[in-house]
Parts: sequence; structure tokens; C-alpha cells
Amino acid sequence: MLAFFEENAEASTGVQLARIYMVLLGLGALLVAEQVLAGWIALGERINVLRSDINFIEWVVSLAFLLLAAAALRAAWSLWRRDRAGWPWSQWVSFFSTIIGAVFLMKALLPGGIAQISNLVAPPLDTLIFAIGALLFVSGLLCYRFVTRGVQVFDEKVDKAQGALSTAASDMTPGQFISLQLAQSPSAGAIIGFVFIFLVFSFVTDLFLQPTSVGSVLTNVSTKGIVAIGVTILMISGEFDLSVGSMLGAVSVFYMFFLTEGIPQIGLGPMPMLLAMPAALVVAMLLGFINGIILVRTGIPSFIVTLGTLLIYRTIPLVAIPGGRILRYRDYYDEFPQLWISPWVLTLLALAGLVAIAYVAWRTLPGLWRGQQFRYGEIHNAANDGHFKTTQTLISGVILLVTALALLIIAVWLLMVISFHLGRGGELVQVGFFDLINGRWGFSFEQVTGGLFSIFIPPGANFRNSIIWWLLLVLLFQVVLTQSRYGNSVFAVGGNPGAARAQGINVNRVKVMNFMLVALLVGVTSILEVTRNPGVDPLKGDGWELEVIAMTVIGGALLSGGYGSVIGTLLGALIVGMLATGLVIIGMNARLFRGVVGAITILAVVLNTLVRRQST
Amino acid sequence: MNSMQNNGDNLLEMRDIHKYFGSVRALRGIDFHVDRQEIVGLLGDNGAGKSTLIKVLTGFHTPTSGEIVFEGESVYIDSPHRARELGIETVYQDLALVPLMSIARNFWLGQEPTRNFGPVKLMDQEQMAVEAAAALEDVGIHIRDANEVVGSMSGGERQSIAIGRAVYFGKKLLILDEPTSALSVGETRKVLEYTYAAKERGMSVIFITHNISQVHAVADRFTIISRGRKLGDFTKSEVSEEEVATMVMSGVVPERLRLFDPEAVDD
Repeated sequence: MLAFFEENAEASTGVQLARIYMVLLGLGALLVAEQVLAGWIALGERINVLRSDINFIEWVVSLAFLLLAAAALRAAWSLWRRDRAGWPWSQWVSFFSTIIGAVFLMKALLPGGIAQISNLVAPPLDTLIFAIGALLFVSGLLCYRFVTRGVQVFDEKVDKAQGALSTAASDMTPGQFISLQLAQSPSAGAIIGFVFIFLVFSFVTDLFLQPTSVGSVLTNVSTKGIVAIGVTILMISGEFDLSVGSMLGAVSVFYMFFLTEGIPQIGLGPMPMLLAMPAALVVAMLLGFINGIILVRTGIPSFIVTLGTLLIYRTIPLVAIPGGRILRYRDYYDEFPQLWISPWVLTLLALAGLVAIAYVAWRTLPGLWRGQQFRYGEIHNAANDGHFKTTQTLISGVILLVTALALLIIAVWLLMVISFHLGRGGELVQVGFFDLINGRWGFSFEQVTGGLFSIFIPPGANFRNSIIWWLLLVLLFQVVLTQSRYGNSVFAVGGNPGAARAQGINVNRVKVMNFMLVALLVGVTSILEVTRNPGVDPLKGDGWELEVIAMTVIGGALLSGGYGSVIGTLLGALIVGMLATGLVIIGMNARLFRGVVGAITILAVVLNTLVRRQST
Repeated sequence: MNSMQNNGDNLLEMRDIHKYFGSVRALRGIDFHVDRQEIVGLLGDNGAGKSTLIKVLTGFHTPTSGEIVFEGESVYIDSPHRARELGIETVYQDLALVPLMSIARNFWLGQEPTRNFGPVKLMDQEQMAVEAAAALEDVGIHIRDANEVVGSMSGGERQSIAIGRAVYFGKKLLILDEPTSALSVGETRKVLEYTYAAKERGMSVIFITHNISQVHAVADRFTIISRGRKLGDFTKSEVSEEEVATMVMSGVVPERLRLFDPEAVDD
């Protein structure tokens, strides 16, 4: 294949075959897309449907096949015209047809599981799906082998390092490109594991992609996920914290007491609900500070220190709540607390949002526009040999358009909120305080935005605000960790404390700060947990520490420090959450859960290590 | 050649430094000085007190007694941070860089340039990469990619980057602790070249080693320490490589040189 382009040789039989293959693949993919859209190939859940009712999965699959068809025809066009772009195009097309084929094979070969028992599915077209999958997989693989033959392999360390920067992505085969990307990511194991587990569960049971299951996965995992963010950052700086579960119990009790009876023993009465929150966070940070200061002052390993505080902090809720019963908010008050928010406050918030939107637009849009202009100019630059320039231009154009539209829509919505609240003329808005913090979606949104923002949540699906807090915190700490000076010092402290100290970083200070950060996030979680089901169980958080460390380690953080990512931990948390819900859905014994999480943890770390060893 | 006389361009002078750890007398009255733009080889057998002397200088230990004069001013160095403020940079063999971080991030560690996004300060990663590469290039160190992880580089490359970093940030005194003992011949030569380049740029260098052959090519002067005392200072012209090696091993100054060194005589 190389010779065909580089030396302008005659088209060999192989090249002829590749040309024909691309045409056939393009037409075939078009056909499959058409069949799915027309309802002849049924995928996903189909309850009492007309054939023309297309569900979400079928939209996705037909779109994927349409894109594959477009790409294959594009490759074929280039192969006939002999322009060099045909080469990378045919590589990527055959690569993706192999992948899509593999996914279809998986779908056909995996057992239907509970889906058949629950009688929700149309009779499966397994043979058809199997045939499509096998055809795509085998032909794609053969074509890929042929097309990438003769490309020098980037297996040497030096080449790999250069490949990252100096070699254009299109000079690597898709396999090399993907493995390089994975090798550079701290969370390769988590990415692979996430995709695999997601596919298996969605194929084995149609219930998995239902809003009820998705809501259950996200809501259950969001609070643990918030703790895991802190544990990840702490682990990157070379320490870990076993006391998070106990701390959660302790802080929850404090928060509950602050809200209700105060702590009479020290003369502290009940606090207003807006004050109880920061007070609980301060208590949490104090507990974290104790962890950190013991570690730094005594030099005892964090395992021992936090094992000690694990036991100590747990006694706080056990002693504070007599009889080990569950303390409920309803024991004190009949009504949940209500907030009356002035519309002016909401208007001001919306105005601040508008300013933020304007700022983001000012910072991002001009750059995107220039990039788009540049790429557009590059299309006709002969030196590029047509390498994906049209595609890149198209994609960057779409990104530009979507960004601009998204910003515009948010801005318009904020304006609507402002006009709505101005129109009410000073009438206070009533919101359930607990709903605002961690309410179910569907209630809380509408209350705050006056019905201007409502999304349809099917009854029974449990999406809560904690999901939003979780994702926002992940985003925030991803930026802190990778973009800020503090993040850089965290990596240095874990990676080589001596070097960090030699560069003037106060290693102990960073470690204590991280213990306090973990505690702060535990405090946030305590508040979310207390407000979710207003009350405190003295055993709240028991066993969390290990589950959270599992999430972190699956996400690619090194127990020895210096390596890891918050996004990886997000994936790790999702993996654990999918297992917890998915195993129940497919009707397996729920007691298997811990064992499976354990096995996945080991597998993910082995994968991470393998990928990393390959890269360095 | 005597240390007490060149006050004019003294960068560092340590006078009568004693350091006791309980009953262990690690340093027993050492005088040590470094001139500007001078490479001093600090030599001694294992356990002679080289490392203790340097740790006193870099603030990891405080001396039991004695005085440190830096740029003509008496200074009290009680922390590594203070030493850095003065412009003293130490390159330890294993402690120079963080292996899992990129060259650029290592280079700027602790003093990263930032860009402001409103009230938020974020690292300017592009500037970090470009400037780190340019600064290293300036000292003669070619790197493939400033975003490459340090862990994949050889020991010599890591030392070189640490030296280049010290030069870039305008340090005055560079301390190299056994920099070349684990390096191949070719890499050692490179590190020595960069050391020389650092001197050309106005820095003074203390080169700690127990192996004279590693430092003889670039050092201007040797200070030999044995069992907590200084055997003497010798300029390169007055001693041969063999003589220095013998002194380091035996702890005895040859007859020929004794006349010139009153401290060694009074032992």
C-alpha cells in the first residue's frame, strides 16, 4: 500500500481489492443504516411499537453506520484518484469497521440474560446481527492488516516520544495512535474497563440504559465520587486516608446537630440552616487537619495514622447518638426547612451568570474562529497532501458552531429567568432547602427557575442534584490538578518529595492541605447525604474508605504517589456504580458485588501497568 | 593559593565549621571557600564529612559552631528554602527531578509562570514548554520535546536538565552531589561540559565526589576532607591526579605539599 502512494506504482491486486472493498463497505453500511431506520433491524428495547418508531439506540447505530458509509466512500474516492489522503482514510475506515464488527459480535454472542425473562424485547435478530458483525469484523481486520503493512512500527521508546509531537497523527496507524493516546493517559485501564463493562451491561439487558438504571448508577455513585476526588489528589501526593468513612459519619452527626438541637454541652444552640453548612465544613476540615498534622509531626505512615482516626472518628456518631439508632430530622421538626429567596437574588445570580457567559465567549470564540479560518486555508495547502484537512475543518467548524450556540442558548435562558423574576415584582420564591441541596430532579429545578427549566424525568428515575455537584467538582479539581501551580506541586510531592523540597515546595504543607481537602469534600458529601434522606445513621459511611480507594486505583492513581487523574477516578467511580446496579439488573446475586469490584480493581491496575510499561 | 587571601572575589566562605551529632564529631573545624566563577572539587572518602558540610551549607543541618559568609555577608542558613533564596542550588543524584512529570513541569517546578483568567491563575503550559526548551538549548542541552516525561530519560540527561535549570534561574552557586558516579563515560563528559558552561555564565560550582578522575578535567581547585578535617586546598596546577587520589584514600598530605599548608601541619 505504501508503494502505491510513495512510488506512484501500479495499483496492485491488493490495492484494487481495497478500492472495491471501500465501495462495497460504503454501500453496505448505507444499507444497514437504512434498514435500521426503516425498522427492519430492531435494536434495543421495542415495546408495542410501530416499525417506524425509532428508539435512541437505533438512532445512534444508524448514525454510526451513516458516518462509516461516508468515510468509506470518501476513502474509495481518494483511492481511485490516487491522492495520498486515501491512505489514512482507508486505515481509519477499516479500523472502525473492525471495531463496529466486534461490538456487533459481542451483542450477538452475549446471552440475553434477564431481558428475555422480563418479556420486554422483540424476538432477537441474533443471526442477522451476528452476520453483520462477523462480516464487518473479518473484512475490516483483513483490510486493516493490508493497509497498514509497511508502516514503520513505533515500538521504540524514542520513536514513541517523537511520535507524540513531531510526527503528524496521520502518519501513525490508528492502532499506534490509539495505543499512544492510551499510554499517555493515566487512566487507560479505566477507559478500557468502562467501555467494556458499559457495552456488556447494555447488551445483556435492555434495562441497563433505562433512565431508572442510569439515575440509580449516577445518584448512588455521586457522593462516593466526591470523596474519591479528594482521595485521588491525596494519593497523588503520596498519602492516603482510611478515615473518610468514619469522618463522613462524624461530620453528618455534627451537621445534623447543628441543624436541630445544637450541642448543649458546650452551650451551642441550633444554627440557622445557612450557617450549619459552613460550620459542618469547618468541623470536617478540622478532622482532616488532625490527620495531616499527626502525619507530618510524627512521621508515622498515613496508613497507621488514618487507621487510628478511622476508629476514633467512628466513635463520635456512635457515642453522640444514643442506642445506635438512626436519627431523623423528623424527630425534631414536622416540616422540612424552607428557603424564601428574593427574586432579586436570583436576578443577580442570573446576571452574574450572564457576565460569566460573556467572559467565556470572549475567551474562547475568537480563538476557535481563528483556528477555523486557519484550517480552512490549509485545505488547499498542497504540502499537507490532503491529510484529513477537510475533515478537521468540518469538525472544528462544528465545534465552533456548537460552542457559540450553547453559549447563546444559556444566555437567552438566563435573560428569560431575569425577565420572569422581574415580572413577579418582589414576590419571594419558596424552595425546600433539602431539595435545593440534594433534591430529585424534576422538583428542585422548576422551583428555582420558575418552571423555565424543566426536563422530563420519568417517574421512578432517581436523579439528584448531587450528580451536578459531583460533576462540577470533578471539573474544578481536574483543572486545579492539571493547570494550577498547586496541582503541579501535588504531583511533585508525590513523585519525588526530595526534589520538590529542593525546589522550595513546602512538602508538609501540601500534604496537610490535601488531608484538609479530602475532609472538606467529605464534609460536602456529609451535607448531601444528610439532606438526601434527612437523617443520620451512626454507621453512615462504614466501608466507604475501601470502595473509594478502589475507585481511585481503578482510575489509574498510583498508590505510591505522583500519578493519577481526577477524570480517571470519575471513570473508576462509574465502573463501580455500573457494577452495583448492573449486577442486580441482570439478576445476579447482589452479594457478588464486592468480589467483582475486587477483581475489576486488580484487572484495571494490571492493565494500567501494562500500558504504562509499554510507553516508558 | 591560601584561602584567607582572596577576599576580593570570594562568593562563599565557611569559617571553622563544627558539626556534632551527639558524641559523633562529623565536622571538626573546617574552613572552606569558593571564589566567583570557580569550580571546586570537594573530595573525600566515604564518611569524610563532605555531605555533612554541604548539608550545613544548604540548610538541612545547622552548624554546631562556625560562620558562613555569602557574598561578603554573614548569613544564617536554617532551611533549604533560605539557601535557595541566597542563590544556592543543589543537584542531588536522585533528587534532581520528578520522574513522572514532564521536562517543562520539572523545569518550572515551584515557580511556574501563570496566565490570568479573570481572578483565576492557571499555569501557562505553552510558555512553560517553549521557554524551558529554549533555556536548555541556550546551555547546549538539546531535548526532543519539553512535554516528554523525565522518567524515560537517562541519568545524565536528568542531571543536565537540573544544571540548565539552575543556570536559567540565575543561581550563583551550584552544588553537584556525586553527579557522575552512576553515569557512562560519554554522559559524564556531557555533564562536565554543562558544568563548564555554567561557570562560563558566571556561576560557581562545588563538585562533590570521591573519585578525582571524574572532576579533574574541569575543576580549578580541590578541597580534600578527611575524617571531619580539611587536609588542604590545592590548585590544579600544583598537584597531580595521582597525588590527590592518594590523599583522598590515605588521609595524609605528601611531604612536598605540607610546607604550603599550615592547617594540615598542625594536625
